[in-house]
Amino acid sequence: MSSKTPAENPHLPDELAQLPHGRHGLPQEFVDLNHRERLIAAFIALVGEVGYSGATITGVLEGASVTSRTFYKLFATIDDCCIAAFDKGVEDLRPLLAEAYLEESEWPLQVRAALHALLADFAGWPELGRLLTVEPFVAGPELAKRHKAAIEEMVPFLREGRELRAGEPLPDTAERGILGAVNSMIGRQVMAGSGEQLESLLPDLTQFVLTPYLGAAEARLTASA
Amino acid sequence: MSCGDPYVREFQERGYRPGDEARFRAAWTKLEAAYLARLLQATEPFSEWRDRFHAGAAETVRLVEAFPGEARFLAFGALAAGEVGQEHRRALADRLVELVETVREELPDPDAVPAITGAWIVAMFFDRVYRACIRSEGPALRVELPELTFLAVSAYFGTEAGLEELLRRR
Repeated sequence: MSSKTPAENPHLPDELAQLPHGRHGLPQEFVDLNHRERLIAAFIALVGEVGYSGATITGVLEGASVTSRTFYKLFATIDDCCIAAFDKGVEDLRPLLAEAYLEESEWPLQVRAALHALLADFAGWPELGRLLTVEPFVAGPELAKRHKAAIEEMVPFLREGRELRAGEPLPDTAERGILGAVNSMIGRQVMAGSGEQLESLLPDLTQFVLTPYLGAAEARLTASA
Repeated sequence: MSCGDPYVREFQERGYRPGDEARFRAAWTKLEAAYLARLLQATEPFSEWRDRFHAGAAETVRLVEAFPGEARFLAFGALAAGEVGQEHRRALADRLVELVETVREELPDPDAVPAITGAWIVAMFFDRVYRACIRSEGPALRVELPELTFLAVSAYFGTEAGLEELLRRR
């Protein structure tokens, strides 16, 4: 069902390409990792096409070119595979965002850089964007819980902006509202089939995120810098 | 806001199935029309955008709490029903964005505010509604209403105006 075979999947590193058939003498650990990563990549590709609700084990097997026996050795259910794919996506994003954030020294630019890294990553792999921003709402409570935890991880970075604000403090849940909106905006664009143009959202998203902390004029300046 | 269509309940119980398209469309259309009618009824008495926005948001929250099955249908139906669902969800979101964007008539410099601000606010609202539909713990959606209003007003009128609105609503 997936449109990409492992060899065609640009998100599989070379070492995770399909293994040679028959006896190859590779360590079992390596083989298992290879299969696991291929199944995850195939699941993400499939979700990009048909969503979580339409994803089946058969479709994943086809995309990963592995047997059902291999699937069940690594995952008990399609939900397990989904959770593993979500966790892997978040794990891979974490250092990417942290690196972008830390490359800048001023908070508004740090936020802009992290947003840029996020949009660029999803633009390069919109199927992952869909899995991380849209599917958590339909794929059951476990994924919803993980998604909420991933958003919570970003809250402290945004809260740092409160130090730049004079006057009345912002409401306690402001950061969750802002991050939820970023999530939804990305999901909306991905679902509209425009995931590859996600980076075009950067100026507006930067402005929206920074405005409560800096005011509209300064936020606009940073957004267009 | 119940549209009285048995498909909404069936959808809750067994999900979307191939061949459901016509029934899905019919149920969605009835439900969306009922929701928008309630929204217009709730906002009509107010002349200022901030009051209209708050009234519309409060009515949405009330409906989500009173009709969780219907809310789930509108929130997740779109995701489960593939392209037909997406098409309906986009149309509903566009209609809500249009309503939110009427604010520009009240802005001194409408062009200074990004064109996608309405989409941003609707996205923020959808996010909270989604979470309210799936969570079994945490604060009720109505508790978040003042903060949502704050973020919406801030996006158009600036942070201080948003905070004023927050104090007024608490």
